[in-house]
Amino acid sequence: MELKTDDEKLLVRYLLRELSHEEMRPLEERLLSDDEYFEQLSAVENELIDSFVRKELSEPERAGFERAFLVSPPRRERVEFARALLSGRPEIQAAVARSQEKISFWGAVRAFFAAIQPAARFSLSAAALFLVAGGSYLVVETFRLRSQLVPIRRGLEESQAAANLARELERQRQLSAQLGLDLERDRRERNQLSQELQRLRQGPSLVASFVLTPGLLRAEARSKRLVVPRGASSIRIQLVIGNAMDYSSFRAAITTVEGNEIWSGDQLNAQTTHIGKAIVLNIPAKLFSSGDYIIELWGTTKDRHLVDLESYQFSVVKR
Amino acid sequence: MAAPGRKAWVLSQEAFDKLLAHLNPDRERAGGAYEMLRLKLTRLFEWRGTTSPEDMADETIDRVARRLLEGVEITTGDIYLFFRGVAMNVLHEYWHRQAEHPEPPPPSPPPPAERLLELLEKAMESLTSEEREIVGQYYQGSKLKDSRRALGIRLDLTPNALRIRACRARDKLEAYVREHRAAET
Repeated sequence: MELKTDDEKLLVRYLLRELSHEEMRPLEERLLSDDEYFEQLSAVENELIDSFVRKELSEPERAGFERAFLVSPPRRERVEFARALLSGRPEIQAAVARSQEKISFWGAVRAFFAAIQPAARFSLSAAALFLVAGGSYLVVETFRLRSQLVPIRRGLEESQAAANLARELERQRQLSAQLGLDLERDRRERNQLSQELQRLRQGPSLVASFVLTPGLLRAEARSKRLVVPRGASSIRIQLVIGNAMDYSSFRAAITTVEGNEIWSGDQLNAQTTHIGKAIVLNIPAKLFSSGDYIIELWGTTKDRHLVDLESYQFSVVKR
Repeated sequence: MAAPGRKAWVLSQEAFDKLLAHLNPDRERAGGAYEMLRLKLTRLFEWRGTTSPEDMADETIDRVARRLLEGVEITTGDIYLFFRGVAMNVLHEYWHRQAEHPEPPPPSPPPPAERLLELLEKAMESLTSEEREIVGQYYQGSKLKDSRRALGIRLDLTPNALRIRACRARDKLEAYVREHRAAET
């Protein structure tokens, strides 16, 4: 399959599910917010499917396509549709041809003139002659104006192509800068983790403890402010739950209100505390910055179904 | 398909209105933005290999609408990030269910080739004549590069603009075939 740009190569890798989770994230965020990018991906997907149907893919590409596309019913349907569309069958050609049928123009004119009186025919002929003369003048004038338009249109197309190229270059520069920032951030986090580990080994740590009850109303959330003192190494959050009897274990995930997950835990158990049944989470304090968060809680039933239970919204203020 | 979980939440008119207002203050444009967003979420779940992409897209939209109704404040610029975050939660739940109890793909034997061609022929009649011409010359025939170049010149479209137009016409055909197949099963 012939690909035009690095961007399209990235899109093909996404469609063949060759990207990592971190690589998919900025791409999918852009798809949701940028209609043109979404249409570009749809067009690349169609071309990938067509290349598969026409047997134009290389062996590794074909194998990747079969893994990604032929295991899911909606995607298999798209491949079957493409086979039908590209089959060149007479039924489809006929449908296209019907759009291009034209009746014979001169045949219709002859039929019309044959049907009317001679006097009317003479008047119509004189009128037609006048129209032809006027029409000729208009045609000459139109050609003159069109010839003036050609260089203008060419100039516009060139400047548009230059603008498109400049936009693409800028976008690539921004992507590269963002990748650099992400890498630097990861390095800093790794250093912080090592320092944190060293400090924990050296001495006792400060734990900030809070209790949360379910509910997502903004007014309630404001009152659920977790003030994390300076020097706290971890935050202990007790999630009050109702009936814990139906579940063998629990799963919790903490996200920002923008949907970014910062922590998750599985195989958690309910504990009996002074406030009743609660799930107790111990989270490194450095994962939080001041802002709003949501904890989602799921219960695992005895037959191992995951059940979405409660949400807990709260604000963190770091001192 | 509602993900098994807390009581099935129904998208109320109030929640829907609030969601539209977050997508665009102009209600008509918001409706278009909603349809486009639903399509994008459906395709995203399809690209991630799930078996019920439409249901998962609806589940995602319902959850975001519920959050908005309950008072979570999201700026318009962030709402698509928020949608993706919620979509990832829905996807993780799906993977977890699949790992614990793999669902066999729903039985969908391909229609006989002749039936598919009949539907496609009927679908062509629902296009405009320009769209039919684009489909005919963009996808049919042996010398596609030449026919596409000629078509672009005749319609005064750049190659990328022609590609997008062809894609849109093809999407219309696929949607027609899919709807009529669903009605038959």
